[in-house]
Amino acid sequence: MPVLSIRNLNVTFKTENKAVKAVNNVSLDIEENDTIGIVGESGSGKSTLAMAILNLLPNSAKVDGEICYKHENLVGKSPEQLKYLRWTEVAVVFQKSMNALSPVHKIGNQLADVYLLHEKNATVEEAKTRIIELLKVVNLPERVYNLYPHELSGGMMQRVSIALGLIHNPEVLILDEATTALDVVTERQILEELKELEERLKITRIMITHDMSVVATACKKVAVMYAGHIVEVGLVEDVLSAPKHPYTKGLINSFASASNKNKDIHGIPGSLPDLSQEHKGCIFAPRCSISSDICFKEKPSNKMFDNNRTAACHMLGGD
Amino acid sequence: MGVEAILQMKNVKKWYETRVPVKNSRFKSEKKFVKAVDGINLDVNAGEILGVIGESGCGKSTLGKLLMLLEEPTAGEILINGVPSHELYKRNQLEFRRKVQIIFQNPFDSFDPRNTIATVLLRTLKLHQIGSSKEERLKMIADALEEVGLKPSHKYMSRYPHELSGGQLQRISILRAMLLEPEILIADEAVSMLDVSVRAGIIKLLKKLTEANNTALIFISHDINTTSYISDKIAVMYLGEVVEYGLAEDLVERTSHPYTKVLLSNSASIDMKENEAITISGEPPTPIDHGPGCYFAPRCYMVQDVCLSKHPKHQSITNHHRASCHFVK
Repeated sequence: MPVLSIRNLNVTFKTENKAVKAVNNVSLDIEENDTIGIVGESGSGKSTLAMAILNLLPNSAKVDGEICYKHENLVGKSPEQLKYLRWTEVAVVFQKSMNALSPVHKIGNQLADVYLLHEKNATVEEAKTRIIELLKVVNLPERVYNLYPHELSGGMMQRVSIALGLIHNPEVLILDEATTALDVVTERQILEELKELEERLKITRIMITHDMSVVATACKKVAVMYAGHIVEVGLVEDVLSAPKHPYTKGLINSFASASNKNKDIHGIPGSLPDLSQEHKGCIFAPRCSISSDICFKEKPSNKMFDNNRTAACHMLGGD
Repeated sequence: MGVEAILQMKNVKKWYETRVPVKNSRFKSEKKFVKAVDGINLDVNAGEILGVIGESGCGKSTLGKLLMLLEEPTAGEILINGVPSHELYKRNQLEFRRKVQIIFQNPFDSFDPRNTIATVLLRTLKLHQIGSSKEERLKMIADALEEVGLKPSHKYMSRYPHELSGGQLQRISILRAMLLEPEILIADEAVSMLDVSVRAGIIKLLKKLTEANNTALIFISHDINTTSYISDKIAVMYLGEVVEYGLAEDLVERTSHPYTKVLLSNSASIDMKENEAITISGEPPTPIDHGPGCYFAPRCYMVQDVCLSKHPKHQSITNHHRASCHFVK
């Protein structure tokens, strides 16, 4: 049974004279203890999708469809009703931890605030023990408790954010570009720590990133998003070694590799389509190298392959 | 070397003064130096692409600024065609700027939002007195735009920077630099903020244009994968020093310095090969008071006593390949 099941989700941002469809008819199942990476370029709707889960979107967003967390539909619930879910069941680690933490409060006090929010009967002492325990979990020294955010480096701050996400033992942890701004060495350290942590704590992890290589190192499954559509889903090793959708292929061909200097890289010509317009056929067709007439006329349906793999392209066989 | 290098850095240093609180005192502080760039010796030939990589805070961007003379070096010399760069600059500022150009990371910050693309590019040409009339300059701009793949050019010339995507704008900032046919082009993280599908195109464009003009390109980046793709030679920086330098393929395949090994093994790749990352702890410290030993020693996985007491010198490995480590064979 999936922990999180998203069915036909649409998110539309309305402005005065147009409506931008940021997420378009997305369906995705996330199983327990799974680690899934949602990859896409900027503007593909990956963050919007994740924020829709906890209703963290601005008021101008209109969400319809279904997001079931353990059989309970979250769409349409008020922030008040979602309060019990946030932090305790589903937690988010945001991209810029610099901005996510208050610069005028000590790390310890900020974390204690969140702890006491859901553990109303806990004493300050209990909160402190729990937080120091958490800091150890993310490989930070105890003294961080009494420091201010500006006294920490980027990597340490990101670890604090992750500790904050883990404070109530959530079932699902969403990391929105959580390692993007870090140096390679630190990034790798944090990814390895995360992998170890979730084995111990039984967490389902959703990683949102634009970096395919992060997914390759740290996730089991991958969902590729383009212009609000999920174009391909599957196990990481399947998708990366033999991509089916032309967009996934294009993405993989765009990556240079130090270990393989002979690999020639190719970009994908063109740019993202205007999402405020209605698109009749396949959303990727105008940039696709193998598109034909049908691609501009009909929306492709999801084709199924082995290992629960799906890809939405007219040019694929499949069952 | 037979050919005279177009750009020579001779023991280039940039130290910033700072005040550090004295231990065990509440108010006293003492003067210290942050050694952002600390003794760099590199040569770049015409038409060569030199990649400079390192983590944040290693001084790679400061080096770029020094080459542009946006910062004054504390010590050492930068020679362009054998002439010290500050002399060139004093003699004729315009000529110096024409010789050395830079592309910054964020194109949205490097264009005036209130001018159209044509206005911005016309100003560059007029300032440097390229072309004799406005019509001629407009024609040059149109041709250049088409050359970098922005067709039809008249559609782009009348637009404002916010009406273009990051990739398109970065193409224009490359074009703006290359219109002057510089001898040296510095690209400071020029592709880091672009999407991967766009990045490949920009890298190829950079390579094509610099090759066509025989321009030396200094490609500053933290991404070892991209850098090794574009560069002929790579310099790896750590705390203001070049720790390893060599041909791109030598550096990747016959890595000598432990820091380069760490960087390479930690850089995530999309090849599904299992690669074991060499783990090191901590993050680069601020370059104040290194102590006598190797700067990387406190984090190095193969550190010995000698590393803590003696600073390693650059050791030649093969022709162009050198590294500063006590254990380079």
